[in-house]
Amino acid sequence: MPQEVRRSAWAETLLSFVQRYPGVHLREIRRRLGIPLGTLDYHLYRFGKEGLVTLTETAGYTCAYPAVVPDIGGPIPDPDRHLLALLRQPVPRSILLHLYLDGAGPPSDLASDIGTTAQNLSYFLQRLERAGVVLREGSGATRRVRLADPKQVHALLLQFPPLPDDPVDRFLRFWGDLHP
Amino acid sequence: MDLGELTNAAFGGIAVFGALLAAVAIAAWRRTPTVRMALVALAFLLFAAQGVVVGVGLFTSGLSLSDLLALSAGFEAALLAVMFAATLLR
Repeated sequence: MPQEVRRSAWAETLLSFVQRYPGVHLREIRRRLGIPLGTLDYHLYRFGKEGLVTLTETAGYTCAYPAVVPDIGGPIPDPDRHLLALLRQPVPRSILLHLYLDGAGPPSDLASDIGTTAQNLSYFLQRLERAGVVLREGSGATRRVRLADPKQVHALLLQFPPLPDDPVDRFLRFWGDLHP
Repeated sequence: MDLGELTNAAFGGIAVFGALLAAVAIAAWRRTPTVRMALVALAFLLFAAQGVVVGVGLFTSGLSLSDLLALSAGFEAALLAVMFAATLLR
């Protein structure tokens, strides 16, 4: 296949992926699309110059967003960008979905419910708290974690679909669910 | 298709699907490096190895049927032990 044709195919795939899944970070794009690093950099640079895609450093990751979302009629607002980027990462997404579906709860229950360690949960809760997405209330035995703005999470979940599970994700979830 | 060809196809299937699932399990283990996932990957590798070793042994080596049956049972016992550990141990 000529290189130009291959490049334009990548460009189309990449642009539609970013438009469908705004807030996805670059490593995830590479993993999902199998796109070579140089090709990814080239197209993102080009999309940036053409005003199609913007890159933002969010929660320690470089995340890609479409410059304009048709439903919004402009760019995604900054607070939503931050939350979207967190919803694209497995552990923060599990925490946010659990708090959204089940409401506030003690951190110890949260760790076992989402299948992670207390240390891992604590690390991500600190990040989510710094981002202003979750709030920790009380102390000791009455300590609870809750979403700062459940309506914002609800709106973003409805507007932007989650990244589809790949076979490895499904495999991991299946064996994770067998935990006695 | 006679019984020999069916047996050949069955062991071929065990080897191929065992190898495919082992590949997915290894990818899963690389993404989440836990003991559980390592055991699951090992179990599927044992499936694949059983398919290859017993399948090849059945048609090319001078092993008797009872030797191959013992070999196959050994593989199955080992992979059941690994599966037991992967699913039930904390």
